[in-house]
Amino acid sequence: MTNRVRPGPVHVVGLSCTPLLAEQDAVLDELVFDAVSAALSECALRKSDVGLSVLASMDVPDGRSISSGLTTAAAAGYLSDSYRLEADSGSAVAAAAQAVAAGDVEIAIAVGVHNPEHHAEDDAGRRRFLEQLSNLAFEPAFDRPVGMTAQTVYGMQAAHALHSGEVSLDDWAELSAAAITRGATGRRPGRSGPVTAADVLASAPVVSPLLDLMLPAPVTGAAAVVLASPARAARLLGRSAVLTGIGQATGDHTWTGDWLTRPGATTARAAADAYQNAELVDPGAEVAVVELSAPTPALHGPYLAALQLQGLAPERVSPSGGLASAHAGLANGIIRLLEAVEWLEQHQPRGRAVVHSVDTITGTVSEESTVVVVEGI
Amino acid sequence: MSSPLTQTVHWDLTYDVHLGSTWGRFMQGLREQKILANSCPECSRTFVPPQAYCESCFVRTEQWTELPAEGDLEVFTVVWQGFTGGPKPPYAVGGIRLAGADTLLMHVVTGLDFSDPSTVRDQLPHGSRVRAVWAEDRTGQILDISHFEPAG
Ligand SMILES: [Zn+2]
Repeated sequence: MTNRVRPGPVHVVGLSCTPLLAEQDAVLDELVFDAVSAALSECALRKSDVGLSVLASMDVPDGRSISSGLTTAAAAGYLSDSYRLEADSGSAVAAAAQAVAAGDVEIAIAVGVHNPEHHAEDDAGRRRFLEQLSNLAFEPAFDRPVGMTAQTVYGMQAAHALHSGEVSLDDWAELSAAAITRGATGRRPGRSGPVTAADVLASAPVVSPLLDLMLPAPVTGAAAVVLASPARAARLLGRSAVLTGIGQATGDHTWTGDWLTRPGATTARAAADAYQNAELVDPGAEVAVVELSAPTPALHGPYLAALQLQGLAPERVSPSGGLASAHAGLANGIIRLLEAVEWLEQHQPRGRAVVHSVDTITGTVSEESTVVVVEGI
Repeated sequence: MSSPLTQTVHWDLTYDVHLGSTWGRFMQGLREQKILANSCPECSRTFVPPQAYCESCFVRTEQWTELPAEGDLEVFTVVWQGFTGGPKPPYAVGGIRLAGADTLLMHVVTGLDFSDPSTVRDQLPHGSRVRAVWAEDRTGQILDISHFEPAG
């Protein structure tokens, strides 16, 4: 269940993200258009230059049974090659990169959009709706009727991890507080800060042992990336980064229990492929920064270990604040790539970053994980 | 922020989800208060929920056995903030390894005192014995097991 993606170098020439808001006063395709047109502007390309566009979105939150019918044109796919994946946008990046690497197209776009068609007054209300959708994503004969959702999965994984005795709720509160605080001074905060570990511990219980401020901050928006072949990128303005390795893997069903006891296994498989592509031998020494997608602090350690980056300094792990600061559903994969590329631009223009994303539709059950190695040039 | 303009849309779809012969047999068993498992002829793992095929050996499963309606609660969580249309919180959901099974069955767990969230985790330690409580009216669905309760 590992998808090996062998890219030649694929250049990142445009990257953009709409404002990330609790709720957008916009139709879905308007958000897609905003992200895609801004990403194309960065590298002075037009719609007619785009050989393929791959959109990540999902019908159920979109409130339309084929929402890509609405969004394809906004993804620059009108009367050209375009398809949609019901997956995290990390998968859309992988698919678009594959088309460029294979020489099928010179320019490809990946875009992710997340704007659940639901109005709520607060995060708790937003989560009640997202959790309802998550329950619908579980298997209807066994898991759905007993109330399985992404958050119940995360709660159980956290409970199992605490039982090991190797981690504590206090450690997790520190991690969450630091992430929210970092994110609050970044470019795309979903939560304001600073926040202390005591604040995290005092926040409302959601799915024990996880508390409100340990869970992702739900935001909405769209993000897009423009990828180009080396020959084409050489003639373009815009971002200067290259994707050197991509790996993807899919996790297992509820009944196997891997999601509980080996939650990093899917990411480890994805990382192995990405690192092999990128000829990354010693990730701990060769990677400057990682944008991690840990939906809870209980997954922080397992995912970092799976990426072989547990030795990285804490400030080099999701400097953006990660999902604790802002989580835009399926748009997340491209936002993590954007954060990593911006970090390299500011701190290590020739450095190497790892971008990790997962879908959170059914928690670590049937999780799809994407790992991308990106280098500044 | 003022509320954005929205339009209410309601979907109301009734599905008849096909169970197939493997899950169908399991669900029929529940009507008779029996928990039926099946096994892989190659790796010998015993599955609840039963599987039509073993996904790792990629062969059809064969032998059926009835398992006791008891097992170990490997993990649980208490849901304090639930989902629209779901049970009224707080409630607990857990992963149960029935005696003789190699797999986890997810189900509702009762017998917890929810008055203090901070103590809930210690009330049913990892591996606590739990047993199935049968629903009075059984119609061939997973909620024919109403819930699992501590067996101690
Ligand atoms: Zn087998």
